[in-house]
Amino acid sequence: MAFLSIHGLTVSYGGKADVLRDVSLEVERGEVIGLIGPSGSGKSTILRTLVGLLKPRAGTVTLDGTKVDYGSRGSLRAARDRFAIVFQQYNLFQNMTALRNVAIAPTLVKKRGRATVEEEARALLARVGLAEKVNAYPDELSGGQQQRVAIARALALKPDILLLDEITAALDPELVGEVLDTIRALQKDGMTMLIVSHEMAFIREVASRVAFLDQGSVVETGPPAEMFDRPNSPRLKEFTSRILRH
Amino acid sequence: MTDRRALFAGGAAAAAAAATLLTPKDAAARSLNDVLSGGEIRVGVNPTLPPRALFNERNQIDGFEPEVAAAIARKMGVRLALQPVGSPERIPMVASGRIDFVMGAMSRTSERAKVIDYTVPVHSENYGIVAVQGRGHTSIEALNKPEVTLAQVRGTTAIAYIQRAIPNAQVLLLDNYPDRNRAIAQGRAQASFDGIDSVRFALRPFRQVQWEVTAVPEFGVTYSGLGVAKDNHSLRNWLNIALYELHTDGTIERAWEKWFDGPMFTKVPASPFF
Amino acid sequence: MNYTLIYSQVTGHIPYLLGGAVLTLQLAVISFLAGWAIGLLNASVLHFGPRPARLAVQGYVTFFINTPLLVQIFFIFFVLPDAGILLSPYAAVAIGMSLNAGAYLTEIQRAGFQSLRREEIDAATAMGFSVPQLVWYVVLPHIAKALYPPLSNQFIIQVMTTSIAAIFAVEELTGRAYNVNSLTFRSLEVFSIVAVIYVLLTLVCSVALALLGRWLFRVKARVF
Repeated sequence: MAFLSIHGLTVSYGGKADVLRDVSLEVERGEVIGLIGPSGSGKSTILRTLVGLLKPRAGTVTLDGTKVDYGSRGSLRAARDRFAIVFQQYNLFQNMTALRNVAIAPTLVKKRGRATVEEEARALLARVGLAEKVNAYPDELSGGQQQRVAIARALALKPDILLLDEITAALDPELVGEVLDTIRALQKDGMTMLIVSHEMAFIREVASRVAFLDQGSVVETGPPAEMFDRPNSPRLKEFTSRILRH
Repeated sequence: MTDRRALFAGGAAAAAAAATLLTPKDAAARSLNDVLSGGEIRVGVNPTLPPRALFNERNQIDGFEPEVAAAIARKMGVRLALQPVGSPERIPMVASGRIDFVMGAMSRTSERAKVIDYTVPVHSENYGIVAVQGRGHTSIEALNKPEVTLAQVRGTTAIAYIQRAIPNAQVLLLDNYPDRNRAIAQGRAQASFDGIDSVRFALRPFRQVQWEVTAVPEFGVTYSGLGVAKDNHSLRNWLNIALYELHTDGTIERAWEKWFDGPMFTKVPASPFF
Repeated sequence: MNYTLIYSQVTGHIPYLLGGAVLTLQLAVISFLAGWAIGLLNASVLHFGPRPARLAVQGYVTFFINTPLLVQIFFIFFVLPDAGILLSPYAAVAIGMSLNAGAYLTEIQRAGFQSLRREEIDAATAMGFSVPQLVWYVVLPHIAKALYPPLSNQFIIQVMTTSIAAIFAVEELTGRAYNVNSLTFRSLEVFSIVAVIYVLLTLVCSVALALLGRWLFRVKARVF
């Protein structure tokens, strides 16, 4: 069985029709999966469901051979222990410095010693190129810098799988590069990642496999070159032609 | 911050209010002639001290003092306007001429007489111990112990006596006599040393408690007169004569017996000289 | 007006009045802190709690906001003893004021919860924060900062409100003012001195709160 196995995942909220319908996906360790598709196709919903921000109505998620029960607190905590998510809007804690943003969850949730955690946090911030900004508050940082702090914060949890939810969508174009560089480095280190993004060129570069979603369902999966150059389904054809034209 | 500005504004408003109260020429005590020509005498009474003054079932001010005030107004030939007053504002109200004289818990003391002038006494005030029956709280010695708590009403003359003569007892200062009586009934306090003139009236609502009232005549008697603004001699002289007449014709004693369910513990002799 | 202000007749009582001011401040601090904690707990329940708990909190807030504080303390002071609960005057007033402040501080802090950024809560939830951790580390600093001015105001109101304690045998500033007044009859002198003490008290508190806010929450409040 794959490292992460999603089977028949169905999610609905707000009394609306299913946002995700019978989604299945297999992810091997060290793989980078690109999730693409039009707005509202359910890409972000997959990530938010995996970290337990949304409750699935049906389907199973199996991580490293263990089924995740999103109804039980212990199982949910175990899942959150292994998934870490980075959001489009960075979602940093505004009242904390960059260092504290990175260090708080390991000390609080994982009950690790503050001194070692802060040392690791400094190293992580250095790794994303923010060694000088450890004591800056989010409102003193640019969008790109904030997003890199958010990535360091996610990495501080030592996740098995990193979930990236349109992390460059809110950034000014000139700041996108610095964030993507950080992700490239993570890919080289063998980090397993699920990436939701509209940066098709970037997906093509880092993803080992791509899943195309439309209206809450996975329509097609495959290696990026095949997906982008020789799409099978008409919907993916339409999507790629629309995206790649500009 | 806005709260600080509001504060300064509040402080300034308070200062301005004090200034207006003190400075304008018309805000002065009215002489006898002012009252007569105005056709109305304004009298302050404290309706939290029944039966001296109280609100009756028609929600009008009634009681011993309004009755005496009405007799005074009749003698003067003017209308009576009763003004309810509490203890902090009654002196400024007399000094500024908003009321012409004040009644209600106006026991004479040399300290108070520095601030306000008194007429001859209207009635005597007699002191004693109010307690629950059978607990032995019937003498000053029995009360003068740290385990005894005395419930008293804030702003009454008995408190000064207690500090002097019953120093070992704890004192619980409450807002009014019903609260004091409730405190004793509920066991918050064991007794009260205070005026016992109105005790029959005041203890009526607490029928479930067996009360014991012990007069303490060795503490002497205090006298309540009418409080008149300092140096308002014309009004005070007239009031003294009116009170002499009301004492000699029995009006005051009759009003007392009606409201207090019995005669004064100490009679006030009508003195022709002031 | 034939009244002469003679302050020398009451200046001897100023130390006694200042002793009352200490008690006033004590009552204000205790009831504010207790009310703040009640308010925070209630606002958390309203935001994160199950429906029955939310209804209970709403009932509490409605009751305490729509009845006068005087009546609430009267109940605690004079009615509870009939049920066998005899609290000291100080305790009765402190509890009454705390419960009352708790209702107002629930309302204030609930507004703070509503102004929270959903994103920060999502991030904390996804990282596995428990609800108490979420409230303490994410919600509280946010509302402390956003609500610092109304919370400071509530504290100043709390200082003023303590004057009600005089009715229930607590010898705070106002109670002592009544005592001195009945002794000397120097009402204008006594109450003007007391007014000045209250102004000084609230002024000192405002400055202290502004400094505290700067230091704790980076609130850019003007000190003067």
